[in-house]
Amino acid sequence: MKLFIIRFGIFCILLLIGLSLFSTFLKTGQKNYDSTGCYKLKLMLDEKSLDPEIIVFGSSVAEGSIIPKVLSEKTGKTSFNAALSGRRIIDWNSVAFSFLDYTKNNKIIILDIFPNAFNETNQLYFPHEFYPYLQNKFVKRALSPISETYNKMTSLPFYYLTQLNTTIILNSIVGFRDLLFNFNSKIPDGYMGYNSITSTYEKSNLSNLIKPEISDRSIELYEDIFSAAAEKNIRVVLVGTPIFIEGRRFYQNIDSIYNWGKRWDSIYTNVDFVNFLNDKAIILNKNYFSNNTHLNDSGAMELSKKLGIVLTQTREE
Amino acid sequence: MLFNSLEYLWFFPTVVIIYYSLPSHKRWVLLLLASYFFYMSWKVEYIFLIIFSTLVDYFLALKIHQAKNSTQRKFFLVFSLVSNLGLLAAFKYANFISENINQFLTFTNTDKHLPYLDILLPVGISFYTFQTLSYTIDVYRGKIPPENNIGRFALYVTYFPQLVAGPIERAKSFIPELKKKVTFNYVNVVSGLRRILWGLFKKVVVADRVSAIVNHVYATSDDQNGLTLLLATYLFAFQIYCDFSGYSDIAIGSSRILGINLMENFKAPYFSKSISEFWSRWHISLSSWFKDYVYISLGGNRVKVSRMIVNILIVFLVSGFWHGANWTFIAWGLIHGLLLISEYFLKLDSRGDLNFTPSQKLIRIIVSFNLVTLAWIFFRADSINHAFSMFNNILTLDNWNFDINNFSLAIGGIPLVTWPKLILSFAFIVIMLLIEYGIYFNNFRKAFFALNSIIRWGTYYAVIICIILFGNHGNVEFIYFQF
Repeated sequence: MKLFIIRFGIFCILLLIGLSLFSTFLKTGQKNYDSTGCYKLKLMLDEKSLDPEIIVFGSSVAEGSIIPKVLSEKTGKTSFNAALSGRRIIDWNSVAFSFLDYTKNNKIIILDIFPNAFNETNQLYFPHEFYPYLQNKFVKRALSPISETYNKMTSLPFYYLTQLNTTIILNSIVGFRDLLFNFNSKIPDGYMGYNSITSTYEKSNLSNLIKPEISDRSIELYEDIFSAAAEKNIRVVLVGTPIFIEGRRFYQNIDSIYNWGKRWDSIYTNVDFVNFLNDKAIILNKNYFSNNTHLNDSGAMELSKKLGIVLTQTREE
Repeated sequence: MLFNSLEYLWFFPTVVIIYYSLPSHKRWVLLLLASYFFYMSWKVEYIFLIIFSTLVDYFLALKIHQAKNSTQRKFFLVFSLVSNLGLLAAFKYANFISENINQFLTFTNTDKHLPYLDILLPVGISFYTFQTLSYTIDVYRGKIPPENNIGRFALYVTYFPQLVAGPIERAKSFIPELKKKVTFNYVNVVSGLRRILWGLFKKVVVADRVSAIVNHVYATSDDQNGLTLLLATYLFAFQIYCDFSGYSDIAIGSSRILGINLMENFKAPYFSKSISEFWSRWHISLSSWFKDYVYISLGGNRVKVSRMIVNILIVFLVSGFWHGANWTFIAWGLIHGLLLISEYFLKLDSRGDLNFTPSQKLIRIIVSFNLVTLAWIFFRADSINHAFSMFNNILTLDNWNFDINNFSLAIGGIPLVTWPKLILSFAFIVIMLLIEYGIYFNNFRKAFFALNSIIRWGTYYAVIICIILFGNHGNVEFIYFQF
């Protein structure tokens, strides 16, 4: 039995070392992979170096609609757009809570409200962007309740390896190579997180009506962010994003989503709701949209200017 | 608790550590408790069915043994058969029987209908019922004495490695295994671990990877073309083999670690040179059960040819019905029965010392494999109509075309099955077949052990990495759990 224990022990230790090395390679590669998602997560979950006075959280809608440079010009404050494409509050909240935990300079947090903002989902968009940070307490708290898979990922060593696919492995190889050989980054100098969309309006052929969900967990998370922000005297500005007028008919119960903005505005003293849903100067202009819910760079410029003006005003104004 | 779940990863080592820490004569208590826990982790209430089965057969076997005359012995045997098969009928076949009676009543314009019972099939009921039945019949036949220790007998019925999907053990060989004094044996434990690893590979890397394709294609069979359906059927042949033999490997491996030998259940069945050879290599514990307790009881082949044909058909119809309460399984059994009878008349049985040339062997293997695979269509289809419509689509050669998108749904615009994934799945099937061929026909084991330990360990690591990286880890149930 002694011989077995020794050999089995050595086998397991070697296996553990091998898996750890492989895991480190993948996580390091993934962390340094040249995508805006990985870069933003690295800044806020790993380096914790990003601390602007105005920060934007949310999905691709916010990422492509709010230009930090314009906000900075209007308000004189440093800005960064930390919104993440393809994500909803149920997973991006980890980034917001991590930021709220370390920030010293922040004055304003901007969050987007759009038709699918409160949707519950158990299949995350590019979950591997979070792989390097699975032991981060905010990531753990955000991912664990989403599904059993993400719960296992954050609680069992190496479990995320079972979710690997060739894309993730290739991304990791590229990220590792970039780290070792300092390849030129696709992230431009002075990057402020805004993802410019240059395409013109593309009509969606939606055959079914989209009925956005309102999940309790999403509502709870928004409210937790308001409370955490209030503790640090941070103002939260909820931006009800515009929808192109012709595309609006595809969405049911939009008001029930956007009304949450109004409700929170009236309940929380540190929360303001700025609604662009009915802003005719934007929603009637096809040239401002790349699709029904996403603004292109012209639309983003228009919205950011208007938002910048709002940010200079106090709540009473 | 599934063998491929994280729960089992904790459960089994804990049992092993406690098992070898206990004195030999107390270990059966641990195994019994562990087995009950294992079964109750699935559904607590159904443990009472196992306990009922255990008590009935324990006492009836004693009564059979003590009976003074053959009438009494027969009475107790019939009591046991009725109790066990009654349990099986109530939980597994009640709805099938009432559905068919209702169809008949509808056909005869009768207003009254039998109710549908909303009951969940107790996992493994067909396996442990057959195991307890074999015990009572063997006691009746005087082949074994009854077991006096009720605890040990309960362990015979519920032993967790083989409780829910076999192998269906016989009391004659298995009760002595449970009684023997086990000491820690390095070779056995390592061999058990290796067997578990191989079983996991077959289940998680081969069977569960292709299950996504098979499930999708069969669920959308009306919209699929013949080539896609045919490919999915071939994939199903490997899915069911790797799923079930993978389970048996893990069961045998787990038990071997505990020093208890289980019978082999599969011996590379897809390399069989005839259907009769296939049945001596596929689900051996069940086919030998039917041979010993049904076929031989009916007279076996020591009867007139016409009677023997009837016997074969009965065995295969019952075997099909054992697999599930659906006409598809009965049809599947019937097809195999007819194939065996055809083989008998055509003198194509390949068992025994027959010298085939390599090309004869290959042709026989290919023909047998294709016949078995086509019969799987009935096994996998939802209904007889579904199976016929599948055959119809397959035979409509005009619409054959290959499109990888037919193999899966696209989620969020991203197809689940891509070329690299499909090629990888085929590659794993080929690797599995080559290894199994080597194990069963080319003394691969001996050659493997002759390799130096670095290569052997490297192989183990490679298999583990394959399981982690390429396995489907969605806790997919074993197909045979439903039987």
